[in-house]
Amino acid sequence: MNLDIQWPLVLFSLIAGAGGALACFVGISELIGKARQARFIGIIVAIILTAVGGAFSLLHLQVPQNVMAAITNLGSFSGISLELMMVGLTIVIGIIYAILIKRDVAAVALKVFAVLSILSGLVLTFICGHGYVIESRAFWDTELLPLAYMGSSLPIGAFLFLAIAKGMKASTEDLRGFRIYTIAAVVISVAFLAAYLIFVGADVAGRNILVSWIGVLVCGIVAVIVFLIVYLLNTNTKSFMPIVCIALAFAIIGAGSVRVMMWVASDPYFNAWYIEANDINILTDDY
Amino acid sequence: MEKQTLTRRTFVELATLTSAVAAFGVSFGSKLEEREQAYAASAPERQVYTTVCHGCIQVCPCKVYVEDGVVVKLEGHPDAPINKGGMCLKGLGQLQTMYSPRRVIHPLKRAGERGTNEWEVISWDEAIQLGGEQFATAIEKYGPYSLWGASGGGGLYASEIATGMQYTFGCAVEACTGALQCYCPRSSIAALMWSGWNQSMADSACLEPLNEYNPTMEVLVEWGAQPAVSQTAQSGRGVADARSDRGLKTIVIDPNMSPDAVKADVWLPVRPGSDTAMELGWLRYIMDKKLYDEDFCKYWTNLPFLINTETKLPIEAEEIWPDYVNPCIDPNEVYDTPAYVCWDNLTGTYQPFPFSAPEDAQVDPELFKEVKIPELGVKAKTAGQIYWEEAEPWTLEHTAEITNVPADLIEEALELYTGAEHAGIAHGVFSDMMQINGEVPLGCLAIDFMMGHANQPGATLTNRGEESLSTSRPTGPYKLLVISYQLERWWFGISWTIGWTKKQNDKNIKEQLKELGKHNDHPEQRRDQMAQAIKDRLGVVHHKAAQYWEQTGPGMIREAVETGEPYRPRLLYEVSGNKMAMIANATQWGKAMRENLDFAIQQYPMITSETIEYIDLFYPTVEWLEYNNGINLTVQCNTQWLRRSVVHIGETVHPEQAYTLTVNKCCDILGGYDKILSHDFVYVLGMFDNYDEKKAEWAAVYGAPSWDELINNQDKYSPLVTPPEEFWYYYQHENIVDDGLPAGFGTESRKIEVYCSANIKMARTGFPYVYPYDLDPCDDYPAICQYLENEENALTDTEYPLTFTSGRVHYWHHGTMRHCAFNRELLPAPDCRINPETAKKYGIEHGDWVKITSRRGSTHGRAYVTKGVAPDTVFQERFWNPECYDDTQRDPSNGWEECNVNVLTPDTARSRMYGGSTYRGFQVKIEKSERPPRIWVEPEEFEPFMPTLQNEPLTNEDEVLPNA
Amino acid sequence: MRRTLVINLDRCSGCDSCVTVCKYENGLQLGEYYNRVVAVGPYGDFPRVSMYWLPIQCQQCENPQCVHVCPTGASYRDEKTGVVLVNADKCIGCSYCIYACPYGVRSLNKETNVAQKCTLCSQLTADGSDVPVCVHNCPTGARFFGDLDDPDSEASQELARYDDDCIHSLSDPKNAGPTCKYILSPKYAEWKEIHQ
Repeated sequence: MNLDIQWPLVLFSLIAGAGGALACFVGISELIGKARQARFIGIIVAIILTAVGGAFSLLHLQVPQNVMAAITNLGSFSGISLELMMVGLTIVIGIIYAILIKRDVAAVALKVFAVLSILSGLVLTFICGHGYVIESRAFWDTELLPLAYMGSSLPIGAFLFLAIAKGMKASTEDLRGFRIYTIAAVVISVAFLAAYLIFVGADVAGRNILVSWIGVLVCGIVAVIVFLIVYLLNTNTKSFMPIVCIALAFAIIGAGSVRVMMWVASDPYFNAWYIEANDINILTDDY
Repeated sequence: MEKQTLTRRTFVELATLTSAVAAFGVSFGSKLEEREQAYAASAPERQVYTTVCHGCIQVCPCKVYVEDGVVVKLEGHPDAPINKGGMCLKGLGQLQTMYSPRRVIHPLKRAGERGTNEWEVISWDEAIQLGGEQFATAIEKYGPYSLWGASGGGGLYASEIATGMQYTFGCAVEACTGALQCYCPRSSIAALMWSGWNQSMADSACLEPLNEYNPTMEVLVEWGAQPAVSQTAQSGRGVADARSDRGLKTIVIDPNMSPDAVKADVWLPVRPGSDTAMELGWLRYIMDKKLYDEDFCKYWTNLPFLINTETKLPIEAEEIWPDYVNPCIDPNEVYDTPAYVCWDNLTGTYQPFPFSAPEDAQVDPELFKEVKIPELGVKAKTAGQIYWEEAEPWTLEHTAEITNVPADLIEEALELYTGAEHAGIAHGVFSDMMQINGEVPLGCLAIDFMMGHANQPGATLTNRGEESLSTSRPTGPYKLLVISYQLERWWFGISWTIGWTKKQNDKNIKEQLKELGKHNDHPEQRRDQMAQAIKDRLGVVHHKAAQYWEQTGPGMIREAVETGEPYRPRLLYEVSGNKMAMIANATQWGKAMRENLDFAIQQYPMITSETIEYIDLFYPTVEWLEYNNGINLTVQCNTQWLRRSVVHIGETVHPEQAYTLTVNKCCDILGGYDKILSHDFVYVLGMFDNYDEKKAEWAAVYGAPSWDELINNQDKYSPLVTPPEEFWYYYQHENIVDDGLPAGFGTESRKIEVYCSANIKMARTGFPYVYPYDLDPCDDYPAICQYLENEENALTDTEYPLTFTSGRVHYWHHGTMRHCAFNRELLPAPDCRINPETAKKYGIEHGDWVKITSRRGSTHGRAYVTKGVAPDTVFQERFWNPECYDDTQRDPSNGWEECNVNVLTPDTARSRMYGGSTYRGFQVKIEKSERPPRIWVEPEEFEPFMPTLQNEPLTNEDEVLPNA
Repeated sequence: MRRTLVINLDRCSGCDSCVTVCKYENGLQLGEYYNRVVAVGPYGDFPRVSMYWLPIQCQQCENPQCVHVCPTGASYRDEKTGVVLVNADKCIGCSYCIYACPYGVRSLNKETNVAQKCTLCSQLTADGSDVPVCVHNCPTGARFFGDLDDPDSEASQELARYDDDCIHSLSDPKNAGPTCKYILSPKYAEWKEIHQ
């Protein structure tokens, strides 16, 4: 039997992943010295997204009252422990970084935290999907899955940061400085989304046309590429903000869809209670 | 607790107004001991009791764990010799059905129209008064033929009530779904052929596969028998042990790949209803290849007897040689051992062949011979010759063509069976459910008898215990714990005992009349009246074989109820659960009953479709955890286990008691016990009106001084164990008895009558059932297996292309347990098993709902696509859906139409000997359909069936019933 | 110690009694199961077809995937008996063990929402005094309980009666190490590797 779509987990990894990716782009902004005015608000949004995402993961727990057991057992390094650790780490780094930005401390210290933000943000986006790499689920048992989680989060971080920067009146010159990183984010996303889609295969992905073909392929891959190009051609026009927002929307749809698709493809390696007729004619009482 | 504040009056009003099902669980306090008082508030106290499971017809001792008066756990008894701790889900389900919200725990009277499921709770005083009045009224207005009883499948409590009614009141019919369609044909044919046990495993007739004391059986043929399903923990366990631990090989002949077929060394998926062809194929192979046990056939069977081709009866020596003196004549004229005639190979002539030990025979009898008998002016054939001529066309190829089983597979089975020294056939219920129900047992028995597999270690046809040993010439049908017609008829001195002389039979009848005279005045008149009732049984002339168990084909009863011709059965006493699901042509049956019955009483633990359709007065009876009985279905091989009540809730009563009180009340109203045919007959078949006396009787069976002592020190008395060396006897027929001859068998010839000449006599006079009376003759019955197809069959039917068959499933016994939530969640709707080829042909996929249609009507099942059935065969078990009248249904029905194969079955396609209906082997078509309304399929939907009565107060036994 | 079940499929007739007796003993609700019985087949060409029943419950793995993914330590393998158990007080109901179990035999308890599965009736068997109810009550005597490291245990004894070609485990390509053993003799049916 395939598992039901776990919406709290989809939202957790989508929102926290967006937070991590945004933290990444705040760090990049620091390192390349562009759009300075967007950094504080950017890191605050990243912290909020990560925290909200984390909260969604708690919603998934059926017995949250026992959550202390998870915290006291972080040393298990289970998927959930790592997620918890990375959510906490990203938030803590983000808060310190935000304080440092506010206090306008030495550039070296800011750069150190920029690097830490990039790293923790990236790892968070990856870790959000890594807990599902489980041997018993045929279409989960691949590192392409967390890479697709990570990849699909990056354009969200990129376009979200651009939108914040534009909103904070960053200069056109500054905004142009992010082109190469935005291209990289989209390329990584498209590569891993496509790779995971191919891994899952058309048959299984095709079980849910809306999610796999419309969500991942059309929105997450094609539309994001198209709007990346449109954005690149419009870095200096009035259309910049709406284009970035549309690109962001498609990136969110693509990232959410790949997460949902994972549940659609949650075939167990061997779930004999629910095996239906197949080529060797195994029949259960469950039709 | 709010319910305790209800007065009885307000409760009754309330119950009348509300839907019955919701109200049954509510109790009132006047007669019930409050558990709260009986058990002080404390930690649960756990007690463990031993009783015997009654989830099917079998006998699995089990342990029952009770905490604070509530049964909390069941498990198989580890010391039980066969089930060895095992207990199947039918028995375990009692944990839910005992406390089911569907149980009825107070007497009910119908409050609305028939069919509407509206009831009023009444007291037992009122209930027995009403029941007795209705009996008395019917007798006064219409005479005893207006009464009839109905009972159900094997294992039902008190099923003898329906039979007993005929002998108590002189009524003429009963409808028992567990007789003509189950076991009566198989057991009666065996009784006539060798006066011994038969080949039914489910009825504990065939025990040798379970024999661990002297395990010799090599090959077991399960011909339409599926012990793994019918009695999983008992004979299912025994066969599993025999296969795994003792290397037993099995051959399964079954249209469906039953769990037993799955384990079989050879599975022959015979076309439903073509079994006589398969039997004749086997018989031909055995005779053609001379694989039969020649000595056994020559000296212990009637196969060498010369049969007069005109009379179809064996020729007695005195017919040819009037001066012949039979050396076996009993000087006391008690026993009769005739001398027959054979073809003697020593002299090359036909010679007298008197009964003797084989080594003392003066002749070498030939098995296959046709001769002219000038003295009689007739041709004669040996019985063996008659068999050969019948079987001769049935080559493996021809058999394969008719049965749809490949010839090489049949041969593989035959090689296995005939190659074993210790083998036997277990013959399942299937044939009883078809028009071939006389012919198939003739064949199955003949095969084993020809192979010499009788009274032999490792055979299925054996007799056990002291009762199988005889010190004089055996007579028959030997009771051997098998219920036979003689149990009833002796009371009136009706019936012929085979093996006795006419003089002795007449003497016995006189003695019986004297006995009857102690209970009734004018015993001769009463006997005449009873005999007339037998003669007036519906269809009795044509279906005399049904007299073995006093039966009448249900189709004929249905017609009489409908038309009033030749008389109308008007007042029904129903002992079983749900005829609407278990009886053929259910639609017509239900309509006939609903519209024409004057009054109907049912005793059962719960309301079924039948209750709603046409019952007027309902007596709630106990579940098996509440049931005491020292003798009813208590024997597992050589051990006998006490059945005892462990708990008891509500005003439910022992099933053998309420009926008797109704009879007594009826007599009171009529003005005395002598106003009915023979009141005291009620006690003959185990019914009682004094529970304490009955308990004392049962205690005595176990050697206990009192019932209390028995249940207080149960382990000291139960089980009763017969030492295995006094149980597993063999070759009893060879023992020399008081006339200096081997015992032989309780048949006319004292030999095994493979050529069943009793069948010929039966058709002509009613022999041996009605002596000293005669029944009008009908066409002769077959004395040997003959090829016969059911009326509707695949060979001739072009309109309905698929052959329907049925068979039990693990989850319930007959019509039981459909209200057991844990069993239903596993099989919420019946599987309609079809072959992938058939599924493809009709565009059906595994799990699809299908509609099955016969000439009688349509019903539904869920497709289970499997290579476990042949193409063009449809297998579906009986079903009914009590959820259809659950309170939660917006548009309730009575639950018998949606998934009930008996909507499809014909009650007019009747077997020639028995008159029973056809339940398997008729033609249908199928198509994909929608899920019928109301049917639950998801586990959670069964929540309304989860037990709710655990808080019911325990019953104070002494206060349930009015004083007898 | 490796306490586990040995199930003799030569004997099993697919009656489902193990399913319900388990539910009664362990207080499971409608739709909840610790074990199920799967029909494998019939396969082959009619009428020479074969099949068997495969009762499936927790396989008591030596390298249990469910334990590895548990974030709280609620799922654990008992050091003494080798039985995989769930400590309900520690379980947060995250369901990862359900995702991770290769055999799909875990579920969330409908009332308490914590992970649940076959415990080999530890309430009866922990002290070694009894056997699981599915073993006690199996109508065809197909189930055996005991320590595979103890050659005298009933489980080991039953295995010892059969040749290696009759003894099987569920498919285990990822080395979960299921200890539950199935006996199926070739004369009844050919063992099928079942996975997707």
